[in-house]
Amino acid sequence: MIDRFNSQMFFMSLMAIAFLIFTGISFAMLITYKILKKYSDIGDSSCDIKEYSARGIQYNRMVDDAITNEKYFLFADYGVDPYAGNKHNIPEVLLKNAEKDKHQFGNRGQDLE
Amino acid sequence: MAVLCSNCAGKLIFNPASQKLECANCGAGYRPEDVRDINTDVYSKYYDTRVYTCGHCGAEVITSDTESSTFCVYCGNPAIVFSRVSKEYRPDGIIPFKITKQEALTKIRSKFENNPIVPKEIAGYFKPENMRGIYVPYWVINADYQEADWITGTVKRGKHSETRYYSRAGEVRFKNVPVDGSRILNDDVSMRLEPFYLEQAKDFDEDYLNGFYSNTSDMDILDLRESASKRCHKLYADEVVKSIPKNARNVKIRDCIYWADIQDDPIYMMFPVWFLTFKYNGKPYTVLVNGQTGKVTGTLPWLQKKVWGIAIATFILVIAFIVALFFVVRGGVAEIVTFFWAAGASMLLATSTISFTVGFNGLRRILKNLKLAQSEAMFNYVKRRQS
Repeated sequence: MIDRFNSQMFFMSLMAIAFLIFTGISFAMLITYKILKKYSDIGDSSCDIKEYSARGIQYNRMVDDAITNEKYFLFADYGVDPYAGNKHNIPEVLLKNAEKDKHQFGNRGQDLE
Repeated sequence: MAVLCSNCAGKLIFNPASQKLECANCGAGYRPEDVRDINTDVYSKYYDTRVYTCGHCGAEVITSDTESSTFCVYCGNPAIVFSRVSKEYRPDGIIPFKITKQEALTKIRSKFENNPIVPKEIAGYFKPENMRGIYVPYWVINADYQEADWITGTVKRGKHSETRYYSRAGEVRFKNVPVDGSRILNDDVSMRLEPFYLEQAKDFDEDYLNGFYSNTSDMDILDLRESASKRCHKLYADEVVKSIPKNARNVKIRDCIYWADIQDDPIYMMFPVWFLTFKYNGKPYTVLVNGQTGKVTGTLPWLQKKVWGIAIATFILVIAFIVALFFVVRGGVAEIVTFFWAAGASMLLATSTISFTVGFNGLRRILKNLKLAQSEAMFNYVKRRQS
């Protein structure tokens, strides 16, 4: 009986100590992050899509309660590059750089339209 | 392309404050579009430059043919040698510097004034001679973009939480997205410099380069496609998570496929950036200032002892607070107090979990930015990509 009580106490103490350490580390990390962010890491990289697109995202599919096997349908439906084979003009400097790369690194730059 | 003053034949340098070419000798000012160099063919696809190579990091620094370079603008090393005269491809447009060197320095200084964790001796490096203005090559693209995402989020249901799956697919027509055209600058670094406002762009005129350095695009079409796709994906991903219902927490894109089709001809531009490079404890650091808007980006070294001290002090304080609270609660005998203690403990556990996630991810991001700010790491990255 005493052994059982002791093992329960031991387990409870262990859990309490783990909880204390976890809480301490969590808050210490959060505070350190906030301080470094404020004083050392200057400038953010957030950029709004609206700066570069007037209409934003036009959704073709928006399912909020999908089931896991729908993932395969999603990627089966959208898994082929719709723009493959499109021809565009490529600025001369990009072609020249590709030639330079091909010269230096072998077959790099061969996949040009 | 050497352009000299028509009064005294002195060297002309572009002044961002007046937006004019000014003579270093007599102070006469000229608008760049009014100055015509008889040696320059304005219809030529190329313009003349001088190329310097850094013996330390291997970077190529390009100046106008009237400028010379005495140290590497990327790693700060003086082991830089004149390499060759070169004809570079003429960009389609340029955003001239609007922020002067002094203004850029003032902006950097203001960010680090009364800063308790950055070493004081760093202020000594914030000098005009450590700053260089560089025109960085960018490609401005229009793209049709499609993406399909598989997203997860945690939703509370009664006492339990469950993982929900969200399926999204959509398309965007992007217009005038800037993509960094240099392999030397990491894309994450150049992205932090944005926005650049294209309304203020001018037709390219090499007179704007007088007094500044420049870099040319070393990308080929495959690199551009890869960088453009990543850039568009970043913009799209930030937006698509906003479409997930607000009751979902810990929203993450688990899987995605995307394509960017670059439309029309990409436009080759030069954007203005001030670079401040210095070495601290043997490691190089770079702070950048957007030469058009004055936005400062970079990660500076911090006093390790001070930051560890703050972290350990917070750790001890939190533990002391919980232990003290425990003894205070145990002192009271009312059952209601015990109930509040149990509720408080579970709330504390939830708060700790959120703090851990935010703190851990944030610190990882800052350490990544610190590595990017240490330009040697930037160059190792470039070399890895090249090989």
